[in-house]
Amino acid sequence: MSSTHLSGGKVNISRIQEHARKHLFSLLDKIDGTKDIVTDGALGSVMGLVANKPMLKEHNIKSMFHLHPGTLPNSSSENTVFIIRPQLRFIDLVADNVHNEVKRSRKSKDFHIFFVPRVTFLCKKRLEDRGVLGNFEGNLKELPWHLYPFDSDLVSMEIPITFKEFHLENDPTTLHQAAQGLLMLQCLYGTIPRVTGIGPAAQKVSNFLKRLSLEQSSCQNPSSSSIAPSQIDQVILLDRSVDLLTPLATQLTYEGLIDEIFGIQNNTVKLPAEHFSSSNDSTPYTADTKDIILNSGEELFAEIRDKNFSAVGPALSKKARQTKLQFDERHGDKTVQEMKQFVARLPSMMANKQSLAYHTTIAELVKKVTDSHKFLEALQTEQELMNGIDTDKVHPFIEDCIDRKEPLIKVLRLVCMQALTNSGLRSKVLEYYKKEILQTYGFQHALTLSNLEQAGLLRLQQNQRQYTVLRKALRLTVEDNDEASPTDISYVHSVYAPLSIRLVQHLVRPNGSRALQDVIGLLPSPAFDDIQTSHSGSSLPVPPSDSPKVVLVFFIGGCTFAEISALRFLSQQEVSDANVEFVIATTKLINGNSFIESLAEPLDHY
Amino acid sequence: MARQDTEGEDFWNSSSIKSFNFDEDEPGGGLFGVSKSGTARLSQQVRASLPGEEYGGNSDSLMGSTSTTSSTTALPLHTLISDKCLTILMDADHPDTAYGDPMKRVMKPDEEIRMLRRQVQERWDEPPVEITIKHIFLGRPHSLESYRSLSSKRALLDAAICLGDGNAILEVILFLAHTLKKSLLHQILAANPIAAAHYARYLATRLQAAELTDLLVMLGKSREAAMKQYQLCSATQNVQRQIQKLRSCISSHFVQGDSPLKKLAQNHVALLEWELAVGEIDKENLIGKSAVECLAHACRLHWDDPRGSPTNPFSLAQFHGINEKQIHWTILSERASQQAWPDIDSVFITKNWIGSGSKLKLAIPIDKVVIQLHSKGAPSDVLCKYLGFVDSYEKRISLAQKVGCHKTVIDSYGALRDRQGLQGYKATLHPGSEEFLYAEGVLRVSTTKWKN
Repeated sequence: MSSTHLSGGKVNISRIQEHARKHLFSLLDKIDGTKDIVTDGALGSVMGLVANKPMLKEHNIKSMFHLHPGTLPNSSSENTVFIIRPQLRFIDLVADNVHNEVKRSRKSKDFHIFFVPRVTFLCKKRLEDRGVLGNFEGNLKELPWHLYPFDSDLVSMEIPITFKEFHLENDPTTLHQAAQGLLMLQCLYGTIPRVTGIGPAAQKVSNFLKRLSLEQSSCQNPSSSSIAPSQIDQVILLDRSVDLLTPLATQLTYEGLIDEIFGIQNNTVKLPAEHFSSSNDSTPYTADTKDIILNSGEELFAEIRDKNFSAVGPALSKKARQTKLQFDERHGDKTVQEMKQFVARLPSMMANKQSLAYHTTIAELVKKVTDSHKFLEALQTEQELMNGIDTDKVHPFIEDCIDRKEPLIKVLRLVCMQALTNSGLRSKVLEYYKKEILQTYGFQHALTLSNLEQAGLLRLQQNQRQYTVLRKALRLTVEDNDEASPTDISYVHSVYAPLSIRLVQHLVRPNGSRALQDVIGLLPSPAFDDIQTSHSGSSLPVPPSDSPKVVLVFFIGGCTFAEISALRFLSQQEVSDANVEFVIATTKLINGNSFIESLAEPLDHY
Repeated sequence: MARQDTEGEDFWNSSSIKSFNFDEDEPGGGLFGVSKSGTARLSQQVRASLPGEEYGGNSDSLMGSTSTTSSTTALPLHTLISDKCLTILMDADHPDTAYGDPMKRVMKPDEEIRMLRRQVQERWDEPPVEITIKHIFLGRPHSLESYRSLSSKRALLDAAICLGDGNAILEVILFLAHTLKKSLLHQILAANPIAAAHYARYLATRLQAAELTDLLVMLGKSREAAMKQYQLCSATQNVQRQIQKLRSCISSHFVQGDSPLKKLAQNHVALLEWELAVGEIDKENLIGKSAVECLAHACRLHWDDPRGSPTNPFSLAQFHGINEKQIHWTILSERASQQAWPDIDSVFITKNWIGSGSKLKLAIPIDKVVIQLHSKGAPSDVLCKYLGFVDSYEKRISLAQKVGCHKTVIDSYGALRDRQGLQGYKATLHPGSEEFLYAEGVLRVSTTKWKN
């Protein structure tokens, strides 16, 4: 029943999916009669990662809706189950829906709410204030989903606000949830022997994890606790504040670019449908967009997604030739037996052909953007900044972007990037940018600028030149890396090697943090490297050293597709000194735009 | 609970969230490191699974009345334990059920007295703070009422912060807020930045501006206070009210220090007023536009307004201190869109006093000017004029080619005495066209000393 794209790796991610499903179905099965599910928008789309429609049908679900203001859609189901995250605006919508429904129908339905991952005090209070708490009497449940399965080596919490909440508002709640997610992973795959991390958020998560495991082990029967070796050898907790630069850099891998340009949500990209209408498709297109699922379940995509985009074209044409050859075989002389084999292979060949067609189209759409003057100019500026060229004065290209009123997010990305690569801006330069931005885009953005400053993305120059030192010590910029057959992770941004992944490269080594001694003082503290013991106090069994180590990298505050690609690249290196296979967890999949947006102050009425 | 006997069972039995399991009876095992007898846990579970008791009655949940979240592990109890046993268990030892509905079952008088006595007693006894915080975290029934002393309240808050769950922290803070004097509350918050941040956010989402500002000022965060105030003002929908609010915000919060923010707010007010006034004149909604967008508007519709008038683009630009480059760029784009070429000349080209020769006064690189003019459809004589300001002939040629200004290309080749270049260019032109003939003319000039 599990999705095949989840079970390919050393750690079987589909168990997380099964787990989440079990929780959901056991709650649903307790409700008698037919049910409709109403989810808040974002949650509705991650639901698909847990269970699909036919499965839900088996559990007596009639239909699925998104939460909207006003009235619920007409339905004959006996129950309405709201599955929402604990946010006040959702509560208000639920209250609206319930009020209207009660008014509308004489024979009232039963209402239920499942809070993901838990109900909060404020939400309950709001339900009460809105006078609907009584409608849910006995029907408030919690669905403790913490991690959603994305791929055979990737899980995400899908919480976009972790970085902002912790670094701006001092709120550790989502870090606590991250620790719970880790605890769940440990329950599935064994207690992870080594916990390494950098940054304040990483330490918080580690502390929470310690505490939670202690509490858990104290209520657990000692004999039942498994002492089987853990499937994961080490977890590296990386606070996003340790590396703010990487998410801002334009990703140049195939998947990264698709995300930068079109946005990938829950493994799915929405593209204009007109590019995908084909003659053998009998259903007329009613929607404007076509959803394309991107995961390792598709052989071709798994092959090209981590490549630098410049290598994707050649890979696609090679694949096209192979496919053509395969189809051409049918013309040759054949015995009946051979013919039979050919026919048996046909469905998979057709699927390959279809996916080839899709990706050729997507690649063309991407290329249209990457060939544009605008894209290339911005990229060139980025690369200059990375190389420390002209970072200390007002950059003419950024100024131009402001004058031309390019999207604010693009400007902010570049300004922040300059601030980081210059290890802080001179106050005259920063003030100039701020004034220009406020006058061109509106005074209300002062709040966003203030947030960026508080979060450390926009900063004033200090005595230390962190970036210059890090760039040298960790080789953050690499010239002449062959993008088609790369030898270093810097291919994911052409030129720039993500700081985060450079750190991981060191931290997986036995005495990794010692090797980083010279630079660790330049990063947000603390750095730690702990050994976890099993509940009984005995040290955990260590797997034989010649098999590859499995390392879970947990990005607290989000990670980009380019970072994931870089880790996959390292996993694949046969001659690497570390012999490591990576599993990736993140609080959210982000890119430069979504990262900046998560820190921006939305002002709806503008 | 539907039993699942698949591979995930380990987790079900061990997860801290679902900490309870009937099948495993571990004597002395407590949650979160706190020892608790099995019966207590059992009856707690009983409570959680009793329908109709949740959310019953007491509406003031803020004051820490009993509140529950039904656990996901509700079991069909009667299958495990007889009713009689259950009653005994309920009575035997349980702090939490003390507030339960006693009408649920018929009691013997002495039984009832015993229970009531305990109820009274427990009302005054405070359970360990860790247990209560854990109950909040797990969504179990709990009461904060019994924490009456200041020290126990502090301990409660410390325990919540230590757990790290924002929900628990907030519930405790709100309890403190309702039961303590404001000065004491502020004292506690001042010592607990995490708690203060939570409370500030709560007040912000509830739009309790006054209280929030008090809090931030008390915490010595006058900048944050001013910023929050500014944010709340900016979010006001009605413009008149927004202006009013910003004004009072400036006079009450931006008095001392932080002059950039004050200036920002003042400019914001001035701009809103301008937008309101000019929008009325022009029957257009300008609210929310930026200073540069307003400048563009003024360039479009108020170009000829007298210099001193507030609607005049130069006055507006000066008032907001918009930098020269932005001004020039805006004028160029807007006047070019109106095809008002003489206006552009009048701003950017200064004749010297003899009247011959002219100088360009422009803060934008000339190549960008030419391309912008071209994109707005400037005629070739305008383009030629501005191409004339490109300092090197080579640059002039390539730029002129880009915008299709043949005359400049041809003249430049002539000035460079580059016959081959000119001949090559002529070959690309349509024979017989005006520019073709012009090129031929230049080539024929006998006085030119061609260098090739």
